[in-house]
Amino acid sequence: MKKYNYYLATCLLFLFSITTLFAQDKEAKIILTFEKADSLNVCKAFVTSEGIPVSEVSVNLAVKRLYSNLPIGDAIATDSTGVATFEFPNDIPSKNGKLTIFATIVDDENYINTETSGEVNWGTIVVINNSNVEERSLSAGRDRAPIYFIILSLLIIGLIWGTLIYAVLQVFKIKRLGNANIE
Amino acid sequence: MSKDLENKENTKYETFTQKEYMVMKDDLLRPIEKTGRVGKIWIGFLLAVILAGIYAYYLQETKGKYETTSLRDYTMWGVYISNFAFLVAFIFTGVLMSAVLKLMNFEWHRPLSRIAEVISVAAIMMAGLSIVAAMGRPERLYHLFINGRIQSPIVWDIIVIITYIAVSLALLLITMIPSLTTCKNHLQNKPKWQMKMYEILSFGWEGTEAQWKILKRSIRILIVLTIPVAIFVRTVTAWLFATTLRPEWDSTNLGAYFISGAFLLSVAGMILAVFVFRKAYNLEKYLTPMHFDKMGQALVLMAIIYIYFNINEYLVPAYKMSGLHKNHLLNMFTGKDAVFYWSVMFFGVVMPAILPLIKAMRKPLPLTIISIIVIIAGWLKFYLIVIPGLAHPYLPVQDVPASWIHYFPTLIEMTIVSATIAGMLLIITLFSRLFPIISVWEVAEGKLEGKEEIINYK
Amino acid sequence: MENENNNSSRRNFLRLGALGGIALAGTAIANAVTDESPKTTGKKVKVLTADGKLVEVDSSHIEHHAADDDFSKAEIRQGIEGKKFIRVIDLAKCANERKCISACQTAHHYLAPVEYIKVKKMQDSELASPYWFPTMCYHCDNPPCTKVCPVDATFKRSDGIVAMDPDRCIGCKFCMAACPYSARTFNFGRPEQLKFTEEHKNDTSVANYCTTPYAQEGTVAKCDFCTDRSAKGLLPACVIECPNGAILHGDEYEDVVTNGEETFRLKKLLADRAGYRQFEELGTKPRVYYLPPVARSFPFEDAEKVQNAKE
Repeated sequence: MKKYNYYLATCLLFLFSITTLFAQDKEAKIILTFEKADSLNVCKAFVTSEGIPVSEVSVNLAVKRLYSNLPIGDAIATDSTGVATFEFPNDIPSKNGKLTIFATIVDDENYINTETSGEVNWGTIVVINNSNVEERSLSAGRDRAPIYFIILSLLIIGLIWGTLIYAVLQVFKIKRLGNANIE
Repeated sequence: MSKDLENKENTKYETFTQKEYMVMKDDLLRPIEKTGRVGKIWIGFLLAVILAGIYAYYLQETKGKYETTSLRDYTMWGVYISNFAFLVAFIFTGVLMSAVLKLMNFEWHRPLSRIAEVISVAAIMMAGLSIVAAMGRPERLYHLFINGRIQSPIVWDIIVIITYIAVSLALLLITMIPSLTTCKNHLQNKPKWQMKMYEILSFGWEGTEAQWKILKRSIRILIVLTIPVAIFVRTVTAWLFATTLRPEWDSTNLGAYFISGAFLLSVAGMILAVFVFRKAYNLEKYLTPMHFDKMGQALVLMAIIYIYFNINEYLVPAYKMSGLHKNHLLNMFTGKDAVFYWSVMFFGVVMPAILPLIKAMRKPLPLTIISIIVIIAGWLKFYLIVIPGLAHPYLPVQDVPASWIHYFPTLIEMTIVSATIAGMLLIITLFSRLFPIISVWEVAEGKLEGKEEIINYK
Repeated sequence: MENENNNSSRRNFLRLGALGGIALAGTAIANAVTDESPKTTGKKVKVLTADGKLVEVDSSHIEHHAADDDFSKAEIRQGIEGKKFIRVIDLAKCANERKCISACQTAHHYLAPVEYIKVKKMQDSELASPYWFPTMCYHCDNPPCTKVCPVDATFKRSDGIVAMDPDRCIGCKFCMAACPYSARTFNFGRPEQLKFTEEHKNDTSVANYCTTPYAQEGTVAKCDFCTDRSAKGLLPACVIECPNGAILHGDEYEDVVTNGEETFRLKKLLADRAGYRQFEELGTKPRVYYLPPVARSFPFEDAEKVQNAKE
C-alpha cells in the first residue's frame, strides 16, 4: 500500500513539474493614460492579455533619463479592472517639460516581460544656469578675465613701461646734443 | 677736444690729476685690452659646460623626459624650477648694490654698481631658459603670447621678467655711456666691430653739461624704477608657488620670504663676483677691503632678515602642526630630509648671520668662502622648497613605483642646470671683456672733492 | 606629433577640422564594422509617438541619444548642451577591486602606473575605520587648475566638465601643481606608453571605448568623465566596470545619478546619505560627492599587496 502511495506522489509531482515547465507565459499589453486629478499627476496603466483585462499583475513605472530610467515609487499591482494607478511626482526636471514614461511588467509568473512608453508634459522645466562659466572670473578663459584685473594689469604695465620708455628716450636727446656739437 | 673743454679740465680738478686719471683708466680698461691665459681657459670651460648642456637638452627632448629625467607625476617640477627660483634671486644685486646704495648716497657703491647691474641682467636672462627646459612642448611657446591668459601667474612672470630685462639693460647701457666714450677714445688694437659698437652705444657722448644733466636724470629714473620691478619679479616668482593649494606653498609669507632670500643670495653673489674680479683683473686698488667689510655687514643684515622670515615660514606652522602641514614639516624637521634641511638652514641662513660679525671674517678671502657656502646652500634651499612641497600633496601618495616617490635629479637635469649657471657666468665674463667692469666715470667722480661734475674725460 | 610649426591659427584650425573629420569618419567606419550596435532582441515594444499613434518597434531601437552633436575635436570647448555632469561615490560600496582603474586604462589606451582614477586607502583619524577612497578629477566648479593655465589649454565648460585642449598645452605642469587632489597626470614620454599609443591609437574595439585620446607626449591628461560616451547615453568606463556599483554618474539638471543598475534622485540621495565633498574648505567646489561609509556592504579589507610596484 505504502509503495503505491509513493508511486502516486512521484507521478503527480512529475506531472505538476511538467505542466509548470511547459506552462505558456501569456503575452500582456499595457496601455498608458495620463490624467490630472486635483493637482496630482496620475498615471494609469491598463494591462490586458489577449483582449481581457488582467488583475494582480505588478507594474513598474520609470521615467527616462540620460543613462538609465529612474524608477518611480514601488511596483503597483493592477486592480480588478486591470488598471494600476500611479501617483507621479511633479518635481522631475526635464529640458522642455516633456517626460518619457515607461511602464514595465518584469518577472511576472504568468506574463512575458513587456514594456510600454508614453510622453507627457509633466516635467518641471530646468533652468540652465551657465553663470559660473559665462561670467568673468579668474578661472575663466582668456577672454573673460575680471574687468578690474585687466584694468589694474594694464595700468601697472603702462606706468612702468611708460617710465622706462621716457627714460630711454631722454638718451636720444644726448645723441642729438652730441651730434649738434660736432657740427 | 675743443679748447674750451681743455681749459676747464686744467682749472678745476687739481685734487685728481690727469695722471691719476690715466692710471685709473689704464687699470680699468686693461681687462678689455688683454685676455690672459687663465681668462681664456675660463671662457673655454664655460663654453664647454654650455655645450654639454645643449647636448643634454637635445638628449632630453629626443629620448623623452621619462628616461632622461627623474620627473614623475607627483614631483613634476624638479631642479629646473628650483634653479629658476635660484637664478631670479640674483636680480637683487642691481637693486641693492647699485640702486639702493646710490639713492642713499653711499659712496662705496661706485666700483660695485656695474658689477651688480651685470649680474642682474645675466641672471634674469638665464632664468627664463631654465623654465623653457622644463616645458613639455617648448615648440608651443608662442601660445603664451597669442593665447596667454592674464589671470595666470606664469603670464605675470613673463611680463615682469621681460619688463625687468628691459629696465636692467637700459640702466646698464645708459650708465655705461660715458665709459664707452672712454673706451672708444683710448682702446687700441681692438677689432673694428668692437670700436663701432662703442661708438654706437655711446650715443655721441661729449660730456657737456647739458648731456650730464640728461644722463643723471635718466639714471635716477631708472634706478628708482628698478626697485619696484625687481620686487615684482621676485614676488611673482614666489606666487608661482603661493597661488597653489599645497601645504608647503600655500603661505601668505611666501612673497616676502622669497625677497629676503633673494637679498641674502644677491649680497653673497656680489661678494663672490667682486672677489673674482679683484683677483682676476688686479683691481685691488678699487675693490678694497673696505668694500668687503661693508658687504660683509650687509650679508649679516640680510641673513638676519632671512632668519626672521624662515621662522615665520617654518616654525609658526610647526607650532600649530596642523594635520595638513604635518607631513611635510615632520619630514623636514625629523624625517627623511632632516639632515639635509638642518644643514642647509645652518650653512645657508644662520652661519652668514653670525660669522661675518667677526671683523676678521669680513676680510676678502674669508668672506668669499662664506659667500660660496651661502650660494650653494641657497641653491639647495630652493630644492628643499620645491621638491618636498610636491612630494607631500593633500591626498596621500599610494600605489606608485619607487621612482615616483623619490626624486633625485639625473645627470642630464644637472647638466642643463649647470649650463644655465655657466651661461650666466659667461654673460658676465664676456661683458667684462668688452666693457669696463668698474664704472670709470663713477669712480673718478667719487675721487673728486666737492663731488662736482666731471666735464670731460678723454 | 612633433610637427607643430609656427603656422597661423587658421591653418591649425583647418588641420584640426580635417583631423576631426578623419577621426569622425574613422569612428563611423569602425562603428559600422564593429559589433557595437545593439542586436535586435525580438521583443516588440509599444511606443507612443509624438502625434499620439501607437507603434510597435523592436526594443533595441529605443536608444538614449541625448545630444545630436558629434563630439569632434573642434567642439572640445563647447559643452554638451543642457547637461551638467555630476558624480556620487558610495564609499560604503568600494572594496578596492580596482576594476574602475583598469577599465579607464583600457578605454583610454594608457598603461599603468598612470591612473586617471585612483583608489586610496584613507583613515581620517586613529579611532576611525579606514575606507577605500576612489578619487579622480572632480571637475570643480571653482577650478584651481584653470586659474593658473597660462595658455587656456584647460578650461571649464558649461556641461560642468573641466576639459583639456591637447593641442594647446605647452606642458608647463602648473595645473598639476595647482590641483590639491593630485588628479592630473603627465605624459613624460615613457617608451612603453609611446609604443602602446602608436599601436592602439585607432583601436576603437576596446571595452567601453572613449574617444578622448591619451595625452600627447609632453602634455597633461586627466579624467574627462568620458563625455563623448555621455553624448551617446553611455556611462563612463569606470561606472560600468565597478562590480559593486560604487560610482554613480548623472546629470545634475536631471537630478538623477546611476551606476547602470540602480538609479537614484540626486538631491534625495545626498540628503539621505549625508553626501559631502572632499576638502570642501578649499573652496574648489568639486562636482563629485561622497557618501560616507556607513552601513557598509562588506567589512573593510586591507590590500594584500602594493599596486604598481613595478616601474
